[in-house]
Amino acid sequence: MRLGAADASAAARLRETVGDRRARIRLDDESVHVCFRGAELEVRKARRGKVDGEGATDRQTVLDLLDGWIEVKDAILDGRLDVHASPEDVHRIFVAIEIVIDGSARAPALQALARDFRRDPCREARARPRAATRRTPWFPPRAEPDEAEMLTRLDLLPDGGEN
Amino acid sequence: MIGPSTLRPPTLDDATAPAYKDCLHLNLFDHASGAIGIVNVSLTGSPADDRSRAVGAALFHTEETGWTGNLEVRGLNEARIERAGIALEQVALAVDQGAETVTASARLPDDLLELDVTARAQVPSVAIEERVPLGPGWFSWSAVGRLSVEGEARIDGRGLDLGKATAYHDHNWGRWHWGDDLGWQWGAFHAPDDGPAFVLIRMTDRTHTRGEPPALVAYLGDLRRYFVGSRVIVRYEGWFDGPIRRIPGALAALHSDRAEPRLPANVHVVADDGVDHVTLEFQARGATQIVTADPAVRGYGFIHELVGSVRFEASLAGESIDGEGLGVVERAD
Repeated sequence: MRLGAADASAAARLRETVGDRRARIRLDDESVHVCFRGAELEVRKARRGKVDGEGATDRQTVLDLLDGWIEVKDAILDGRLDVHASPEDVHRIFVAIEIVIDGSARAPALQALARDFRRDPCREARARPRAATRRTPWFPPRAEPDEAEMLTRLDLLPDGGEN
Repeated sequence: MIGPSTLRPPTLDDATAPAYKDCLHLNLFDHASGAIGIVNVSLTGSPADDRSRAVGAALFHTEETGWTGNLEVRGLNEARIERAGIALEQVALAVDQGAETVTASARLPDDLLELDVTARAQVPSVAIEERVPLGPGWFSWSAVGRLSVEGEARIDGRGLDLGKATAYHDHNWGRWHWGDDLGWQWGAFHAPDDGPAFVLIRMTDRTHTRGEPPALVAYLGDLRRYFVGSRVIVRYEGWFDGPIRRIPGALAALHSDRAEPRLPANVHVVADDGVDHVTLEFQARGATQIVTADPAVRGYGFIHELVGSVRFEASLAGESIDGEGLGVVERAD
Protein backbone atom coordinates (compact mmCIF):
# COMPACT_ATOMS: atom_id res chain seq x y z
CA MET A 1 0.00 0.00 0.00
CA ARG A 2 1.43 3.33 -1.10
CA LEU A 3 0.50 5.16 2.12
CA GLY A 4 2.19 2.52 4.30
CA ALA A 5 5.41 2.78 2.31
CA ALA A 6 5.50 6.54 2.83
CA ASP A 7 4.08 6.87 6.32
CA ALA A 8 3.69 3.74 8.43
CA SER A 9 2.13 5.71 11.27
CA ALA A 10 -0.57 7.12 8.98
CA ALA A 11 -1.27 3.65 7.61
CA ALA A 12 -1.65 2.33 11.15
CA ARG A 13 -4.08 5.12 12.01
CA LEU A 14 -6.02 4.34 8.88
CA ARG A 15 -6.33 0.67 9.82
CA GLU A 16 -7.38 1.60 13.33
CA THR A 17 -10.01 3.98 12.00
CA VAL A 18 -11.44 1.49 9.53
CA GLY A 19 -11.11 -1.61 11.71
CA ASP A 20 -12.93 -4.58 10.24
CA ARG A 21 -15.49 -2.46 8.41
CA ARG A 22 -16.22 -2.93 4.73
CA ALA A 23 -17.23 -0.19 2.34
CA ARG A 24 -18.59 -0.04 -1.17
CA ILE A 25 -17.15 2.72 -3.36
CA ARG A 26 -18.92 3.58 -6.57
CA LEU A 27 -17.43 5.79 -9.27
CA ASP A 28 -19.65 6.28 -12.32
CA ASP A 29 -20.66 2.74 -13.26
CA GLU A 30 -17.84 0.96 -11.46
CA SER A 31 -18.19 -0.35 -7.94
CA VAL A 32 -15.67 -1.97 -5.57
CA HIS A 33 -15.63 -3.32 -2.05
CA VAL A 34 -12.72 -2.25 0.16
CA CYS A 35 -11.60 -3.54 3.54
CA PHE A 36 -8.45 -4.37 5.41
CA ARG A 37 -7.16 -7.95 5.54
CA GLY A 38 -4.58 -7.64 8.26
CA ALA A 39 -2.29 -4.86 7.19
CA GLU A 40 -3.25 -5.11 3.54
CA LEU A 41 -5.98 -3.10 1.87
CA GLU A 42 -8.15 -5.39 -0.21
CA VAL A 43 -10.04 -3.97 -3.18
CA ARG A 44 -12.43 -6.25 -5.04
CA LYS A 45 -15.07 -5.79 -7.65
CA ALA A 46 -18.28 -5.28 -5.74
CA ARG A 47 -20.69 -8.11 -5.37
CA ARG A 48 -23.80 -8.30 -3.33
CA GLY A 49 -23.24 -8.34 0.35
CA LYS A 50 -23.47 -6.28 3.44
CA VAL A 51 -21.23 -3.25 3.82
CA ASP A 52 -20.85 -0.80 6.68
CA GLY A 53 -20.78 2.23 4.47
CA GLU A 54 -21.11 3.33 0.89
CA GLY A 55 -19.74 6.28 -1.03
CA ALA A 56 -20.73 7.20 -4.57
CA THR A 57 -19.64 9.93 -6.93
CA ASP A 58 -18.46 10.41 -10.51
CA ARG A 59 -15.19 11.16 -12.24
CA GLN A 60 -16.16 14.75 -13.02
CA THR A 61 -16.85 15.46 -9.36
CA VAL A 62 -13.56 13.92 -8.24
CA LEU A 63 -11.66 16.09 -10.72
CA ASP A 64 -13.62 19.19 -9.75
CA LEU A 65 -12.73 18.47 -6.12
CA LEU A 66 -9.04 17.85 -6.90
CA ASP A 67 -8.88 21.08 -8.89
CA GLY A 68 -10.59 23.20 -6.27
CA TRP A 69 -13.67 24.05 -8.33
CA ILE A 70 -15.98 22.78 -5.60
CA GLU A 71 -15.70 22.11 -1.88
CA VAL A 72 -16.70 18.78 -0.36
CA LYS A 73 -19.73 20.39 1.25
CA ASP A 74 -20.80 21.74 -2.14
CA ALA A 75 -20.48 18.29 -3.70
CA ILE A 76 -22.63 16.81 -0.95
CA LEU A 77 -25.23 19.57 -0.99
CA ASP A 78 -25.44 19.52 -4.79
CA GLY A 79 -25.99 15.76 -4.75
CA ARG A 80 -22.71 15.00 -6.51
CA LEU A 81 -21.26 13.00 -3.62
CA ASP A 82 -23.33 10.53 -1.62
CA VAL A 83 -22.23 8.82 1.56
CA HIS A 84 -24.50 6.31 3.32
CA ALA A 85 -23.66 4.78 6.69
CA SER A 86 -24.42 5.17 10.35
CA PRO A 87 -23.31 8.54 11.76
CA GLU A 88 -20.29 6.91 13.37
CA ASP A 89 -19.26 5.16 10.18
CA VAL A 90 -19.80 8.30 8.08
CA HIS A 91 -17.41 10.00 10.48
CA ARG A 92 -14.92 7.14 10.13
CA ILE A 93 -15.12 7.31 6.32
CA PHE A 94 -14.19 11.00 6.32
CA VAL A 95 -11.45 10.52 8.92
CA ALA A 96 -10.00 7.76 6.72
CA ILE A 97 -10.08 10.09 3.70
CA GLU A 98 -8.37 12.83 5.71
CA ILE A 99 -5.58 10.46 6.78
CA VAL A 100 -4.95 9.50 3.16
CA ILE A 101 -4.95 13.13 1.94
CA ASP A 102 -2.69 14.27 4.79
CA GLY A 103 -0.27 11.44 4.04
CA SER A 104 -0.32 12.19 0.32
CA ALA A 105 1.26 15.59 0.94
CA ARG A 106 4.48 13.75 1.82
CA ALA A 107 3.97 10.67 -0.35
CA PRO A 108 4.94 11.14 -4.01
CA ALA A 109 3.45 7.74 -4.87
CA LEU A 110 0.00 8.88 -3.75
CA GLN A 111 0.35 12.11 -5.73
CA ALA A 112 1.21 10.00 -8.77
CA LEU A 113 -1.96 8.00 -8.19
CA ALA A 114 -4.03 11.16 -8.56
CA ARG A 115 -2.20 11.96 -11.79
CA ASP A 116 -2.80 8.44 -13.11
CA PHE A 117 -6.50 8.85 -12.39
CA ARG A 118 -6.61 12.18 -14.19
CA ARG A 119 -4.85 10.84 -17.27
CA ASP A 120 -6.49 7.44 -17.47
CA PRO A 121 -6.67 6.80 -21.22
CA CYS A 122 -9.58 4.42 -20.73
CA ARG A 123 -11.80 7.21 -19.49
CA GLU A 124 -13.28 10.24 -21.14
CA ALA A 125 -11.26 13.44 -21.25
CA ARG A 126 -11.99 15.93 -18.53
CA ALA A 127 -15.14 17.95 -19.13
CA ARG A 128 -15.49 21.66 -18.41
CA PRO A 129 -15.21 22.19 -14.64
CA ARG A 130 -18.50 22.60 -12.80
CA ALA A 131 -18.39 24.98 -9.89
CA ALA A 132 -20.85 24.89 -7.01
CA THR A 133 -24.35 25.98 -7.93
CA ARG A 134 -24.67 28.14 -4.85
CA ARG A 135 -22.81 29.31 -1.79
CA THR A 136 -23.82 27.52 1.35
CA PRO A 137 -21.97 28.59 4.47
CA TRP A 138 -21.76 25.54 6.64
CA PHE A 139 -18.69 25.16 8.78
CA PRO A 140 -17.24 27.18 10.26
CA PRO A 141 -19.96 29.79 10.25
CA ARG A 142 -18.89 33.36 9.76
CA ALA A 143 -18.75 35.36 12.94
CA GLU A 144 -21.94 37.21 13.68
CA PRO A 145 -21.73 41.01 14.11
CA ASP A 146 -22.08 40.80 17.88
CA GLU A 147 -19.29 38.22 18.03
CA ALA A 148 -17.09 40.51 15.96
CA GLU A 149 -17.93 43.38 18.27
CA MET A 150 -16.95 41.30 21.30
CA LEU A 151 -13.67 40.20 19.69
CA THR A 152 -12.89 43.81 18.84
CA ARG A 153 -13.71 44.92 22.39
CA LEU A 154 -11.42 42.27 23.84
CA ASP A 155 -8.67 43.12 21.33
CA LEU A 156 -8.61 39.57 20.04
CA LEU A 157 -8.63 40.41 16.35
CA PRO A 158 -5.51 40.59 14.17
CA ASP A 159 -3.66 43.88 14.06
CA GLY A 160 -5.05 46.74 12.12
CA GLY A 161 -8.74 46.64 12.49
CA GLU A 162 -12.01 45.00 12.33
CA ASN A 163 -11.26 41.69 10.70
CA MET B 1 18.42 45.78 -13.35
CA ILE B 2 16.72 42.50 -12.33
CA GLY B 3 18.40 40.61 -9.60
CA PRO B 4 19.42 38.61 -7.79
CA SER B 5 17.23 36.03 -9.49
CA THR B 6 19.48 32.99 -9.36
CA LEU B 7 17.89 30.13 -7.47
CA ARG B 8 19.64 29.34 -4.18
CA PRO B 9 19.54 25.56 -3.62
CA PRO B 10 21.23 24.33 -0.43
CA THR B 11 24.66 22.74 -0.49
CA LEU B 12 24.97 19.01 0.23
CA ASP B 13 26.24 19.66 3.76
CA ASP B 14 23.49 22.15 4.63
CA ALA B 15 21.69 20.78 7.70
CA THR B 16 18.79 23.15 7.08
CA ALA B 17 18.17 21.83 3.56
CA PRO B 18 14.81 20.20 4.45
CA ALA B 19 13.45 23.69 5.11
CA TYR B 20 14.66 25.05 1.75
CA LYS B 21 12.26 27.31 -0.15
CA ASP B 22 12.87 29.16 -3.40
CA CYS B 23 10.19 31.05 -5.26
CA LEU B 24 9.85 33.15 -8.42
CA HIS B 25 6.72 35.22 -8.65
CA LEU B 26 4.96 37.41 -11.23
CA ASN B 27 1.79 39.47 -10.88
CA LEU B 28 0.04 40.79 -13.97
CA PHE B 29 -2.33 43.76 -13.97
CA ASP B 30 -4.29 44.22 -17.19
CA HIS B 31 -5.56 47.74 -16.90
CA ALA B 32 -7.57 47.50 -20.12
CA SER B 33 -9.81 44.66 -18.90
CA GLY B 34 -9.34 44.69 -15.13
CA ALA B 35 -7.99 41.13 -15.20
CA ILE B 36 -5.30 40.26 -12.67
CA GLY B 37 -2.93 37.30 -12.96
CA ILE B 38 -0.63 35.45 -10.59
CA VAL B 39 2.16 33.14 -11.73
CA ASN B 40 4.39 31.47 -9.19
CA VAL B 41 6.94 28.68 -9.41
CA SER B 42 8.70 27.34 -6.36
CA LEU B 43 10.92 24.63 -4.95
CA THR B 44 10.36 23.26 -1.48
CA GLY B 45 12.46 20.78 0.48
CA SER B 46 15.91 19.30 0.21
CA PRO B 47 17.04 18.40 -3.32
CA ALA B 48 18.23 15.08 -1.83
CA ASP B 49 14.74 14.11 -0.64
CA ASP B 50 12.40 12.58 -3.21
CA ARG B 51 9.43 14.01 -1.30
CA SER B 52 10.58 17.54 -2.16
CA ARG B 53 8.38 19.30 -4.66
CA ALA B 54 8.37 21.79 -7.48
CA VAL B 55 5.14 23.72 -7.58
CA GLY B 56 3.75 25.94 -10.31
CA ALA B 57 0.64 28.07 -9.97
CA ALA B 58 -1.03 30.16 -12.63
CA LEU B 59 -4.27 31.93 -11.83
CA PHE B 60 -6.20 34.74 -13.49
CA HIS B 61 -9.17 36.63 -12.13
CA THR B 62 -11.66 38.49 -14.30
CA GLU B 63 -14.97 40.04 -13.32
CA GLU B 64 -16.83 37.84 -15.84
CA THR B 65 -15.21 34.46 -15.17
CA GLY B 66 -13.89 34.72 -11.64
CA TRP B 67 -10.80 32.59 -11.12
CA THR B 68 -9.33 30.39 -13.82
CA GLY B 69 -6.11 28.38 -13.74
CA ASN B 70 -4.71 25.97 -11.22
CA LEU B 71 -1.67 24.70 -9.41
CA GLU B 72 0.68 21.93 -10.51
CA VAL B 73 2.76 19.86 -8.08
CA ARG B 74 5.69 17.74 -9.27
CA GLY B 75 8.80 16.02 -8.02
CA LEU B 76 12.01 17.96 -8.44
CA ASN B 77 13.20 15.44 -11.00
CA GLU B 78 10.08 16.10 -13.07
CA ALA B 79 10.80 19.83 -13.31
CA ARG B 80 13.32 21.59 -15.48
CA ILE B 81 15.25 23.70 -13.02
CA GLU B 82 17.57 26.29 -14.46
CA ARG B 83 19.78 28.97 -12.99
CA ALA B 84 16.88 31.42 -12.70
CA GLY B 85 13.88 29.50 -13.89
CA ILE B 86 11.59 26.58 -13.14
CA ALA B 87 9.58 24.86 -15.85
CA LEU B 88 6.91 22.29 -15.08
CA GLU B 89 4.73 20.58 -17.62
CA GLN B 90 1.97 23.17 -17.35
CA VAL B 91 3.47 26.22 -15.65
CA ALA B 92 6.87 27.85 -16.18
CA LEU B 93 8.60 31.05 -15.21
CA ALA B 94 12.15 32.19 -15.95
CA VAL B 95 14.18 35.32 -15.40
CA ASP B 96 16.73 36.54 -17.91
CA GLN B 97 18.89 39.00 -16.03
CA GLY B 98 20.80 40.03 -19.15
CA ALA B 99 17.65 40.84 -21.08
CA GLU B 100 15.98 42.18 -17.93
CA THR B 101 12.91 40.12 -18.65
CA VAL B 102 10.66 37.66 -16.87
CA THR B 103 8.92 35.10 -19.07
CA ALA B 104 5.95 33.09 -17.89
CA SER B 105 3.70 30.53 -19.51
CA ALA B 106 0.80 28.34 -18.48
CA ARG B 107 -0.98 25.51 -20.28
CA LEU B 108 -4.03 24.78 -18.18
CA PRO B 109 -6.86 24.36 -20.72
CA ASP B 110 -8.79 22.05 -18.38
CA ASP B 111 -8.84 24.95 -15.94
CA LEU B 112 -9.68 27.48 -18.66
CA LEU B 113 -6.33 29.31 -18.70
CA GLU B 114 -3.44 29.55 -21.12
CA LEU B 115 -0.81 32.23 -20.86
CA ASP B 116 2.32 33.48 -22.63
CA VAL B 117 3.90 36.69 -21.42
CA THR B 118 7.22 38.45 -21.29
CA ALA B 119 7.62 41.24 -18.78
CA ARG B 120 10.40 43.79 -19.03
CA ALA B 121 11.76 45.69 -16.03
CA GLN B 122 10.91 49.39 -15.94
CA VAL B 123 12.52 50.12 -12.58
CA PRO B 124 15.64 48.80 -10.82
CA SER B 125 15.21 45.87 -8.47
CA VAL B 126 15.21 46.15 -4.70
CA ALA B 127 17.18 43.38 -2.99
CA ILE B 128 17.46 42.25 0.60
CA GLU B 129 20.24 39.67 0.57
CA GLU B 130 20.47 39.53 4.36
CA ARG B 131 18.67 36.73 6.18
CA VAL B 132 15.51 38.36 7.46
CA PRO B 133 13.89 36.41 10.33
CA LEU B 134 10.72 34.61 9.30
CA GLY B 135 9.24 32.69 12.21
CA PRO B 136 11.96 30.25 13.31
CA GLY B 137 13.58 30.49 9.88
CA TRP B 138 14.64 33.23 7.53
CA PHE B 139 14.11 34.58 4.05
CA SER B 140 15.78 36.87 1.56
CA TRP B 141 14.10 38.77 -1.20
CA SER B 142 14.51 40.75 -4.38
CA ALA B 143 11.76 42.52 -6.25
CA VAL B 144 11.11 44.56 -9.35
CA GLY B 145 8.25 46.90 -8.58
CA ARG B 146 7.09 47.55 -12.12
CA LEU B 147 7.52 45.83 -15.49
CA SER B 148 5.91 46.34 -18.88
CA VAL B 149 4.21 43.33 -20.46
CA GLU B 150 3.91 41.76 -23.89
CA GLY B 151 1.86 38.67 -24.54
CA GLU B 152 -1.59 37.29 -24.13
CA ALA B 153 -3.77 35.09 -22.02
CA ARG B 154 -6.56 32.81 -23.15
CA ILE B 155 -9.25 32.75 -20.50
CA ASP B 156 -12.19 30.41 -20.93
CA GLY B 157 -11.52 30.32 -24.66
CA ARG B 158 -11.27 34.06 -25.14
CA GLY B 159 -8.05 35.81 -26.05
CA LEU B 160 -6.85 38.66 -23.86
CA ASP B 161 -4.11 40.92 -25.20
CA LEU B 162 -1.89 41.89 -22.28
CA GLY B 163 -0.04 44.65 -24.13
CA LYS B 164 -1.51 47.29 -21.82
CA ALA B 165 -0.73 45.31 -18.69
CA THR B 166 1.94 46.02 -16.10
CA ALA B 167 3.65 43.48 -13.85
CA TYR B 168 5.39 43.01 -10.52
CA HIS B 169 8.11 40.39 -10.03
CA ASP B 170 9.92 39.04 -7.00
CA HIS B 171 12.24 36.23 -6.03
CA ASN B 172 12.35 35.03 -2.45
CA TRP B 173 14.29 32.24 -0.91
CA GLY B 174 15.13 30.96 2.54
CA ARG B 175 14.47 28.31 5.15
CA TRP B 176 11.13 27.73 6.77
CA HIS B 177 8.58 24.99 7.07
CA TRP B 178 4.98 25.53 6.16
CA GLY B 179 3.05 25.42 9.41
CA ASP B 180 5.71 27.31 11.36
CA ASP B 181 4.64 30.28 13.41
CA LEU B 182 5.01 32.80 10.61
CA GLY B 183 2.95 34.96 8.34
CA TRP B 184 3.13 38.00 6.15
CA GLN B 185 1.07 40.75 4.62
CA TRP B 186 2.09 41.97 1.21
CA GLY B 187 0.59 44.02 -1.56
CA ALA B 188 1.41 45.37 -5.00
CA PHE B 189 -0.62 48.23 -6.49
CA HIS B 190 -0.22 49.53 -10.02
CA ALA B 191 -1.57 52.49 -11.93
CA PRO B 192 -1.90 52.11 -15.72
CA ASP B 193 0.41 53.55 -18.38
CA ASP B 194 3.41 55.26 -16.81
CA GLY B 195 1.74 55.84 -13.48
CA PRO B 196 3.09 54.93 -10.08
CA ALA B 197 3.48 51.53 -8.45
CA PHE B 198 3.47 50.73 -4.76
CA VAL B 199 4.67 47.66 -2.87
CA LEU B 200 3.74 46.92 0.73
CA ILE B 201 5.35 44.29 2.97
CA ARG B 202 5.03 43.32 6.59
CA MET B 203 6.18 40.15 8.35
CA THR B 204 3.92 38.80 11.08
CA ASP B 205 3.35 35.81 13.27
CA ARG B 206 0.92 33.13 12.16
CA THR B 207 -2.09 34.74 13.77
CA HIS B 208 -1.19 38.21 12.45
CA THR B 209 -1.51 39.58 15.97
CA ARG B 210 2.17 40.49 16.20
CA GLY B 211 4.29 41.80 13.40
CA GLU B 212 7.30 43.75 12.28
CA PRO B 213 6.70 47.34 11.24
CA PRO B 214 5.38 47.58 7.68
CA ALA B 215 7.29 49.05 4.76
CA LEU B 216 6.02 50.68 1.59
CA VAL B 217 8.03 51.34 -1.57
CA ALA B 218 6.66 53.88 -4.04
CA TYR B 219 7.82 54.04 -7.67
CA LEU B 220 7.15 56.94 -10.02
CA GLY B 221 9.23 56.97 -13.18
CA ASP B 222 12.86 56.85 -12.05
CA LEU B 223 11.89 57.99 -8.58
CA ARG B 224 11.79 55.53 -5.69
CA ARG B 225 10.74 56.34 -2.15
CA TYR B 226 10.78 54.11 0.95
CA PHE B 227 8.48 54.50 3.92
CA VAL B 228 9.16 52.29 6.92
CA GLY B 229 8.00 51.67 10.45
CA SER B 230 5.77 54.23 12.07
CA ARG B 231 5.61 56.18 8.82
CA VAL B 232 3.30 53.51 7.40
CA ILE B 233 -0.17 52.78 8.74
CA VAL B 234 -2.06 49.78 7.37
CA ARG B 235 -5.71 49.39 8.23
CA TYR B 236 -7.99 46.54 7.21
CA GLU B 237 -11.76 46.95 7.06
CA GLY B 238 -14.70 44.68 6.54
CA TRP B 239 -14.78 41.05 5.50
CA PHE B 240 -14.54 39.78 1.98
CA ASP B 241 -17.73 37.80 1.42
CA GLY B 242 -17.39 36.61 -2.17
CA PRO B 243 -16.59 33.06 -3.26
CA ILE B 244 -13.06 31.87 -2.55
CA ARG B 245 -11.34 29.42 -4.88
CA ARG B 246 -9.12 27.10 -2.82
CA ILE B 247 -6.34 25.03 -4.38
CA PRO B 248 -5.14 22.34 -4.51
CA GLY B 249 -8.55 20.85 -3.93
CA ALA B 250 -7.35 17.83 -1.98
CA LEU B 251 -5.57 19.97 0.62
CA ALA B 252 -8.53 22.35 0.69
CA ALA B 253 -10.76 19.36 1.52
CA LEU B 254 -8.36 18.40 4.29
CA HIS B 255 -8.69 21.88 5.78
CA SER B 256 -12.42 22.48 5.58
CA ASP B 257 -12.04 24.57 8.75
CA ARG B 258 -10.27 27.13 6.57
CA ALA B 259 -12.99 27.28 3.93
CA GLU B 260 -14.27 30.63 5.17
CA PRO B 261 -11.13 32.60 6.04
CA ARG B 262 -11.51 35.99 7.57
CA LEU B 263 -10.12 38.21 4.81
CA PRO B 264 -10.40 41.97 4.59
CA ALA B 265 -12.70 43.60 2.06
CA ASN B 266 -10.74 46.83 2.07
CA VAL B 267 -7.15 47.80 2.80
CA HIS B 268 -6.11 51.35 3.56
CA VAL B 269 -2.47 52.36 3.55
CA VAL B 270 -1.18 55.75 4.61
CA ALA B 271 2.53 56.49 4.38
CA ASP B 272 3.98 59.84 5.34
CA ASP B 273 7.56 60.78 6.19
CA GLY B 274 6.91 64.48 6.52
CA VAL B 275 8.10 65.18 2.98
CA ASP B 276 6.41 62.63 0.76
CA HIS B 277 3.14 60.89 1.33
CA VAL B 278 1.00 58.12 -0.16
CA THR B 279 -2.59 57.09 0.46
CA LEU B 280 -3.92 53.82 -0.98
CA GLU B 281 -7.47 52.48 -0.80
CA PHE B 282 -7.75 48.92 -2.04
CA GLN B 283 -11.08 47.18 -2.53
CA ALA B 284 -11.07 43.40 -3.01
CA ARG B 285 -13.24 41.77 -5.66
CA GLY B 286 -11.80 38.25 -5.73
CA ALA B 287 -9.94 35.94 -3.38
CA THR B 288 -8.15 32.65 -3.56
CA GLN B 289 -6.50 30.45 -0.95
CA ILE B 290 -3.43 28.42 -1.86
CA VAL B 291 -2.81 25.63 0.66
CA THR B 292 0.87 24.78 0.91
CA ALA B 293 2.03 21.45 2.30
CA ASP B 294 5.49 20.97 3.66
CA PRO B 295 7.09 17.87 2.13
CA ALA B 296 9.49 17.26 5.02
CA VAL B 297 7.36 17.81 8.12
CA ARG B 298 3.66 17.65 8.79
CA GLY B 299 2.69 21.28 8.34
CA TYR B 300 0.52 23.47 6.16
CA GLY B 301 0.50 27.11 5.17
CA PHE B 302 -2.33 29.20 3.77
CA ILE B 303 -1.60 31.94 1.26
CA HIS B 304 -4.54 34.18 0.48
CA GLU B 305 -4.50 36.35 -2.60
CA LEU B 306 -7.00 39.19 -2.77
CA VAL B 307 -7.31 40.97 -6.11
CA GLY B 308 -9.11 44.21 -6.73
CA SER B 309 -9.02 47.89 -7.54
CA VAL B 310 -7.05 50.63 -5.86
CA ARG B 311 -7.39 54.38 -5.59
CA PHE B 312 -4.26 56.30 -4.81
CA GLU B 313 -3.24 59.80 -3.93
CA ALA B 314 0.40 60.73 -3.42
CA SER B 315 2.91 63.51 -3.28
CA LEU B 316 6.38 62.32 -4.29
CA ALA B 317 9.34 64.68 -4.71
CA GLY B 318 6.96 67.58 -5.02
CA GLU B 319 4.80 65.98 -7.68
CA SER B 320 1.18 65.40 -6.73
CA ILE B 321 -0.59 62.49 -8.36
CA ASP B 322 -3.84 60.64 -7.94
CA GLY B 323 -5.78 58.02 -9.84
CA GLU B 324 -6.96 54.43 -9.95
CA GLY B 325 -5.37 51.10 -10.71
CA LEU B 326 -5.28 47.43 -9.83
CA GLY B 327 -3.78 45.59 -6.92
CA VAL B 328 -3.09 42.32 -5.17
CA VAL B 329 -3.00 41.89 -1.41
CA GLU B 330 -1.52 38.70 0.01
CA ARG B 331 -2.00 37.40 3.55
CA ALA B 332 -0.12 34.28 4.52
CA ASP B 333 -0.21 32.19 7.67
